Amino acid sequence: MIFALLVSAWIYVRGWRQLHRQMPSRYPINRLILFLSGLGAIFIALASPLDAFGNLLLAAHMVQHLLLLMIAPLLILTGQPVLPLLRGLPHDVMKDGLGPFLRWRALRNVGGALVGPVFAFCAMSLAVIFWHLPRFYELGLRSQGWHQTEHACFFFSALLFWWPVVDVWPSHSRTPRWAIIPYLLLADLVNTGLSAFLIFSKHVVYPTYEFAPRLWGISALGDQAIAGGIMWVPGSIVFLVPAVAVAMKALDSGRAIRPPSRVAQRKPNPPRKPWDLLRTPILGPMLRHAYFRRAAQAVMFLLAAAIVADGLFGPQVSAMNLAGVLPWTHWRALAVLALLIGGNFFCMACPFTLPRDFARRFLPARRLWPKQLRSKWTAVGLTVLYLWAYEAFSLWDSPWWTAWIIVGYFATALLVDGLFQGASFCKYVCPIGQFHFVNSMVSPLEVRVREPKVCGSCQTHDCLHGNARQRGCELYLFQPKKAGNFDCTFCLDCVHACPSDNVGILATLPGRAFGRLARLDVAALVLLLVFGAFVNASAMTVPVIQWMNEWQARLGFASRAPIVAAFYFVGLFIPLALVCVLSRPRWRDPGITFSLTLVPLGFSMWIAHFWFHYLTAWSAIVPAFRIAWVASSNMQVPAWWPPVEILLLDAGLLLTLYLGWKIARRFTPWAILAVLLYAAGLWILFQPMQMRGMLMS
Amino acid sequence: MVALRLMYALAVLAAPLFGDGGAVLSRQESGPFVITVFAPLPIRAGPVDVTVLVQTRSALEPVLDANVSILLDGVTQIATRSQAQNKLLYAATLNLPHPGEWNYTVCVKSSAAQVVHATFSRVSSIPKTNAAEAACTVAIFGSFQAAEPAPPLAAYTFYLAIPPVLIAIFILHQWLSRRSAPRRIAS
Repeated sequence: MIFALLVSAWIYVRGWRQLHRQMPSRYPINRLILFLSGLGAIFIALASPLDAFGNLLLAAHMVQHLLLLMIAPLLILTGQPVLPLLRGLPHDVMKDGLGPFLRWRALRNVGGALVGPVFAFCAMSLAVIFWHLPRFYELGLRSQGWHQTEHACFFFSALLFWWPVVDVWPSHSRTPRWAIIPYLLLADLVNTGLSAFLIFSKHVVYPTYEFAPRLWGISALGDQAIAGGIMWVPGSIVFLVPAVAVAMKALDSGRAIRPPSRVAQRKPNPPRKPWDLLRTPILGPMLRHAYFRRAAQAVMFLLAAAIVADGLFGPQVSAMNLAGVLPWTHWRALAVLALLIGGNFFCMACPFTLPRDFARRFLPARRLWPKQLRSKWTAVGLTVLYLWAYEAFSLWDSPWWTAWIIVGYFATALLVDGLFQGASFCKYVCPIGQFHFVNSMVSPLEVRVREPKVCGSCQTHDCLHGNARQRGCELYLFQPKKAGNFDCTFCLDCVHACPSDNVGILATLPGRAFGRLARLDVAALVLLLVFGAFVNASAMTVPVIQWMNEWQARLGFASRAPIVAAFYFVGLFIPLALVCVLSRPRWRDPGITFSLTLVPLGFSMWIAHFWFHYLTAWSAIVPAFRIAWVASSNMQVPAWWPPVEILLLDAGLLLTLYLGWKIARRFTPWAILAVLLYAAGLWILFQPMQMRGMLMS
Repeated sequence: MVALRLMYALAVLAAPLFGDGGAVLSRQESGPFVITVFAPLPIRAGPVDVTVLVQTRSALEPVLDANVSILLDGVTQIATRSQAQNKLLYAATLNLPHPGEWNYTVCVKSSAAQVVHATFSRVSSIPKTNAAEAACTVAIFGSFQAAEPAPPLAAYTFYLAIPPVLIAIFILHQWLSRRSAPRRIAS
């Protein structure tokens, strides 16, 4: 709820700033203060200590209801929220997303009827009376779900009730203003009747409070009388003050006749530019600093060195070793989080390319990467090998092997980039890089040009070729033609090289560049990582592990590796089959593009998987650093995590379906595939999981 | 003093949408204390959040410095105020392995340390007079019925309903867009 309040405040402030520039007289600063105060009243009612006392004291509960019925809606509507909330939304969302609904005449008619005085009065009065009947009030006290429903009924019916009173702009109430006076007086009558019933009742109306522990010696009947008093006196004031104000306004004929000025002096808003991370106050200059990347890489390099040292010479218990904890629990979770909220920041701070950069002063690196290997097929093969080896040899549980993998990574990066020009290792070999390239296609930030017109007049193409003071893109990405984040390491070489300062890290729409990546090798890589997400996560569920153990015993194998290989073959057979189908000319182009739309679903599964491990085992960092021995910390999944996992999968499915629909309206087989993957993901999430890399009690 | 306590409670309470415990399971006076036990209803097998409010009998002031431990089938659970959302209460998550009738005993030692023990045991498995109870100077008893556990997916219906609902809204959106498109062209 706090998140919803913050988002509402943010949208309102965004819209209010624009309207304040255009219509300062209609949207002065006090509108903003009133709206934010209304949100504050909701916060006090639902997320403050007041709510904690609600189950113990009827008076506290009544204050809560007063805030939801009278204070919060009145303040929010006085802030004239319609236009600021619409203008505060991203332009495309408002125009293309909400536009058709706002233009829908039937919906407008329904909205008009809802805020008509007859319906609005009945709605709020009925909600108040209904929920104060002992049977339903008790229901709300006993069940969280019904309690939330009760509060929602109060708040939304009150919004309807106060709408004609405030006469929210730009809607026009057909009700004459004088009619608002009896409208408010009638509502006060209902309020008075209910509060008098509570005050003068000889018995406790709500049994819960009769049996609830009494705080500070307040009897249940006394508490009930106080609650009635709160409802009566402040409640009546809230109804009567606006009635008096409306009456005085009506009597002031000059003001009553004059219609509200609809057109004020409008100042045009400056054209909108996408949000640019490099132009943010503190982070922007920091990221642009010439040595920022080197510093980040140095930190990661030191961590990698510590992992290698501990993995080779430390205790061979993964939960007590940096090589068991940092890469498999912390790094993976933080890397996918960075992809989710930003972009490919791991490659920006990649430790493997740091020694390579220094070694290049001595190594030739003159050759070109072989033409036959200029595709993602090498990386596809290495990724398959990695996924299989991870499971077959339980790499997460072997600090020694983990250390050697990291050493091997450094050596390979040094060898490949010591011999070949550019960043051939990153582009064609590194499986970690491919994982980040693919999933950063749905990241919200992208390194791209700020003003395409500026690039049109550029002759030198420094972002690609570099100049005397800065090298160009080592992955040969030409900024004006770059396809999203794919193959981009966020190294910011292009940012430093551009003489016009025309490259930034801009906000973008996920999957914007899918249409420009129609290559079979890219599709194969994507399908591998999407299906790999589900296969990799399912391999840690108890049913799958039992199934593997059963087959191992049945076939009499000493090692689990062949069974894992068979499992991975079955799991990855589907993407391989799809790749075969896609390679046929007839299916090739649409199939390749559609396969890219599965990226969001696969990414959501990777996040759910990695963050499950992180949330259950983050505390293993403590024994790994030998700070203290934690024999069995509380390794339970937090209660909020399963809903978040489902929400992630929901978002992945919806984005996949949306991107598929955007490419072509007829995509039923791909939609079915996406729904099947979503169902498989749900099944995996609800299975008991093997706790890896954790110290169990 | 009351005002101070109220201010303290207001300062430390970081209450989210709903307080702990749900409904009152039992409220009994025993020795110098009034002990109230809360639990969400219906109680189901599986993890159950149980909260205990301890008050002085004389002034009904909340006792905030007690040590509360809850026993379930011989396993001790420490209930603390830090685990409670409402900081007037002591909370612990109990794991009821089976549905059925359960007895509970809230046991208060009226020593200076004000140690409070609450023992939960299955009716059939552990008799009421166990060692923990014997150590108590005051005790209250009660029982409740634990229902079958809710199927896990049913607990997340809201989150599972999001994709179909949003898809339905999207279909409506497309229908409205297409309906209004020819008009705009014509106009």
